[in-house]
Amino acid sequence: MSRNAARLIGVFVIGLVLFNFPLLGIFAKPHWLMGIPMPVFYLFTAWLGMIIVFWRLTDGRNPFKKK
Amino acid sequence: MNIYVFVGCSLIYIFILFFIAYITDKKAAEGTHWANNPYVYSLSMAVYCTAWTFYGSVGKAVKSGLGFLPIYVGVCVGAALWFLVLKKIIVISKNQRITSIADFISSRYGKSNLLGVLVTIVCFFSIIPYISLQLKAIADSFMVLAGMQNEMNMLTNASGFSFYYSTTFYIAILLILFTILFGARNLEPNERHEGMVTAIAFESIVKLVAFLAVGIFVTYGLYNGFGDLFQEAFNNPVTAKRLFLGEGSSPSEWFCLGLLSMFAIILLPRQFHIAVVENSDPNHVYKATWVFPLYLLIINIFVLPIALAGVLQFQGLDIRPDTFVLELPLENGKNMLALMVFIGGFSASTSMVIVEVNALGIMFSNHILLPPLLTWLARRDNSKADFSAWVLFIRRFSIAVIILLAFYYVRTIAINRELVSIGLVSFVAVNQFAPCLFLGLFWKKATQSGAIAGLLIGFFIWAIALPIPTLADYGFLSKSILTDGYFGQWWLNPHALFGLEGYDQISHATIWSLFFNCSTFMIVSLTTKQSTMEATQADYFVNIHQYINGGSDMELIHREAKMEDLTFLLTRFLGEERTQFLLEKYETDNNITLSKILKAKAELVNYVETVLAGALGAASAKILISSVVKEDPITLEEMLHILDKTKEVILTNTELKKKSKELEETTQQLQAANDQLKELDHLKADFVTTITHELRTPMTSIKALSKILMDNPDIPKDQHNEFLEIIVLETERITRLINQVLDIEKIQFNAYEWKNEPFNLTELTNRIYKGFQPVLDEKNIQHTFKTRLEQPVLIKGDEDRINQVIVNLMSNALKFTNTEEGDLGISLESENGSAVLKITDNGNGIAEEKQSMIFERFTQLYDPTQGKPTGSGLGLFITKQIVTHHKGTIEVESEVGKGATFVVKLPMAKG
Repeated sequence: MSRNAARLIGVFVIGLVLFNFPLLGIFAKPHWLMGIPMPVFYLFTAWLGMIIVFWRLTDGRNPFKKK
Repeated sequence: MNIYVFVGCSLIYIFILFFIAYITDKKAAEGTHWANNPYVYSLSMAVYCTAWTFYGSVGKAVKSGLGFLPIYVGVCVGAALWFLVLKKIIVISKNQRITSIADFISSRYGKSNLLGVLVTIVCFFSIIPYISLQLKAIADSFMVLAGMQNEMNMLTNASGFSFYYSTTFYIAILLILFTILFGARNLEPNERHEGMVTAIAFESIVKLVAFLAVGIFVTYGLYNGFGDLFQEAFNNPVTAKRLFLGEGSSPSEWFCLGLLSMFAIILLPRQFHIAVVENSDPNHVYKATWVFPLYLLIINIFVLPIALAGVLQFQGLDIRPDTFVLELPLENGKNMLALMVFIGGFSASTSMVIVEVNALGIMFSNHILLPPLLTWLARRDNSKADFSAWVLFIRRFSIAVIILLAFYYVRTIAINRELVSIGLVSFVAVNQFAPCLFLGLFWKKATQSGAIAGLLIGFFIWAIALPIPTLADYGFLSKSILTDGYFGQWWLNPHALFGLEGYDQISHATIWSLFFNCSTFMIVSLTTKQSTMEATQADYFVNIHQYINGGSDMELIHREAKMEDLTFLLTRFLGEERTQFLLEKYETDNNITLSKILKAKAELVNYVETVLAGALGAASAKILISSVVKEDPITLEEMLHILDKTKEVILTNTELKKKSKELEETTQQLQAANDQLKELDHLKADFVTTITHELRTPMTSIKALSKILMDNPDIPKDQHNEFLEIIVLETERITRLINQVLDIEKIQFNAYEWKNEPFNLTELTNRIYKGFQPVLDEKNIQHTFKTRLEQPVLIKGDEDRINQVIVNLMSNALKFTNTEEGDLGISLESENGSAVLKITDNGNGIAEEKQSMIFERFTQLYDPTQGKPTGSGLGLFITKQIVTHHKGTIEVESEVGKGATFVVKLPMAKG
C-alpha cells in the first residue's frame, strides 16, 4: 500500500475519534475562543483541518502511486 | 411580494434547468463533455444536501444546537476512505455495467434477482416519503411566502391550500418531464446522463449561494458578525443552551448519525447514482474527497447563526424553525433575498427529486417490472425493437408513478412531520445495505443467503422501530404499542426493543437493526456455501484490481467454471467418447488430474472453448461457455445482450448448417466432375477404338480388293470396274471420316474460328434443297419445301456450318427414307423469335429409347433392312455441336415405322 493510502486510513481513524465523544466532551464546555463558542470553533476548525489534509494527500497527478 | 412572482420564478428556474441539461447533452453529442470533470462530479454529489439541509438543518439546530452537524461531519470522516471504498465500487460498477445500488448488491451475490428485488423494495418504502418531503418543502415555502404559515400544517380544503398544493402538483409534473427527458430519453447502455448531472451541479451552486446569502445577511446585516450574534445568543437563556454541546447531542446520537451519514453518502439511491453510475472517471474520487467535504463545511457555517437569530427574532411568535431561512429575510423586508432563498430551497428539493426518482426508476423497472415482462415478451415475440420500446415505456412509467406516489403521500400522510425525521428514517433504512455491500467488497466468503437474511432482519427491525409506530399517530394501530410494546410484550417496545432504553429513536433503530443485520449476515455467510456464480462474482468484486491490472488476462481469469458444467457442455456437443479423449489429452499435456478439480481455471475454460469453437464456431462456443459462467440475467442491458446473442447463435448455427451443406454440394460436384473425367477418359478410349475400327474397315476392303486386282490381271472387265468403284467409295468414306474427326476436334477444343455474321436462312435452305433435287428426282423420292414466311429468316452465325447442318440432315433423311415410296419434306417456320427448320423422312423411324443416343458420338443405328450401317456415327454429333454453338436446339420426333422428323431451332437475328 502506498504511503498516502496508509495516511488516509490513519486520518479516518483519527476523524472517528475527533468527531465523537468522549473527545467532543472536552470541548463541550462554556469556553470562548476569538468570540466564538469553543465547540463551534473546535468542530469547524477540525473539519477544515481534515479537508486540508485530504487535499494534501489526494492532490497531484497520481497520489497513490506505490513508492 | 405577489405570490405569482414566486410561482413564475420557480417555473423560469425549472426551464433554466431544462436549458442547461439540453445544452450539456448537445455539447456532449458534439464531443465536449462538461460532466466529465472532477469539480462537476463533486458538486453533483452535493445532491446530498436536500431541502432537509436547506430548511431542516436550522430546525434541527434550534432544537439541539450543534446536533445538526454529525450527518455532515460523518460524511467528511468517511471521505477519508473513498479512495479505497468508493473508487473500488466505481471500478467494479464500470466493469460490470452496474446501473443502481440494487444491481450492485445483486451482482455481488451471484446476480441474485431476489436481492435486487429486496433492495428495490427497501428503497421504495424508505425513499418515497423522503421524496415527498421535498415536495412538501416546496409547498411549504410557497405558503410561507404567501403568509399562510399557520394553515401550513392543516389538512384543509381552503382555497389557499389547494392553490399551493396544486402548484406543487404542476411542479411535480414538470419534474416528471425533466427526469424523463434527461434521465430516460433513450436507453443508455451505461445509464449516464450528462445533461442531468450538469444541471444538478448547477443546482448545487444555486443552493449554496442562496444559503450563504441569507447567512451573511443574518450575521452581518442583522448582527455585527459572528461574535456579536453569539454574544446576543449567550445573553438569552433559550439560545444560550444551544451554543455548547449539551442537550440534544448525546454521544450515541453523534456516533449513530455520523455512522449513518458516512454510509448513506454512498448507499442512498441518488448518491449511488451520482457517485457511482454517473461517474465518468474513477480518479475524480480524489478531488471529491476534499471538494465535497469543503462544500458541506461552507453550506453549514451559517446554520447555527441563522437558527440563533431566528429564535432571538421570533421569540414568542409561533413560527416553525424549519422556515427561519425564509422568514428572516421576509420579516426584515428583504423580498429579493427571500426570493433568492426560495429558489435555493427549490433547487435543493428539485435536484433531490430528479436524481432520486431517476435512480429509483431504474431500480424499479429493471428489477421489479422488467424481468417478468421480458420473459413474457421473449416467449411471445422475438423482435428487439419492440423490447427497447417496452423497456423505455416501463422506465418512464416508473418515474411518473414514483413522483405521483410521493405527491399522494405528502397530501395524505406526511403533513405533520418534521423534515429531519423523515430523512433520518430513510437513512436508517438504506444503511441496511451497508453490511452486505461494504463487507462484500472485502470479504470473499460473504454469501447470497447471508446477504438476504441480514437485509431481511435489518429491514424488519427498521420497520417495527421507526415507520410502523408512526401509524399509531394516524390511528391505524393502537397507541398502546408505544408504551406496552407489540402484543403487550415489554421487550417489543418499538422504541426500546429488548429493554434498550435511554436512546433517541434513530440511534435505537440504528443500533438494533445494524447489529442484527450484521451478525445475521456474518453467521449465515459462514454457515452457507456459495454457488459457482456467486464465487465467481465474489472473487471479481473483492479482487477487482487484479482483474483490471491483469489487462487481457481479465477475460480469462474471469471465466471460471464448474468442472462438471464444462464436461456436460463438451459431452452435449461433442459426444462422450470425444470428450473423454479431449480431457485425457488435456490431462497429459498439462500434467494434472482433472477428477480432483471441482472448479476449472481460465486455462481449461479456454481450452474447452477452443475445442467447442472448433465444432460450433467461436461465437456459439463463447455463449456456451458464458452460459456456464453466468446465471440468469438481471439488468436490462444484459438481458437484451443475451437475447441478441441467442439470435446470433441461431444465425451462426444456420450459417454452420449452410456451410456444411455447401461443402457437401462441393464434394458432390467434385465427385461428379471426377466421374465425368473418368467417363471422358473412357469415351476417349472408345473414340480411339472406334476410329481405328472405322478406318480399318474400309482400309481392309481397299487392301483386299487392290490385292485381288493385282494378283489377277485377267479378271473380267465388269468385275474389275466394280472393284475399282468400291475402292473409290471406301476411300471417300475414309476421307469423310477423317474430315469429321478433325471437325470434332476443332469444335470441342474451340479451335475453330466461328464466323458471326447475319445470313439468310431461307435462301440457304432453298439453295441446299435445290442442290439435292436432282438426286431426289433420280431416286424417285417425293420432296417438298414449305414455308409460310414471307420475310426471309435471318440468322446470325456461321453460314458454312449451318450449311453443314442442313446438308447432314438432308443426307440422313435421304439415306433413311423409304426406298420404295420415299417422301422427304422440309419446312421453315418461325416461333417465339426462333427459326424452326424441320426435315422429315418416311423411313423406319427411330425407337424412343434410341432417340437420346443418336446425337452421341459413334452412334450408328443398325438398320436390319440395310444391313451394315453406312455412316461414321459422327454426323449428328457434329450437327448438334454446331446447333448448340448457335444457341439453338436439335431434337428428333419419331415413332418406329412412321419416319422421323429432325427439328432444328435457331434464334433469329434481331432487327
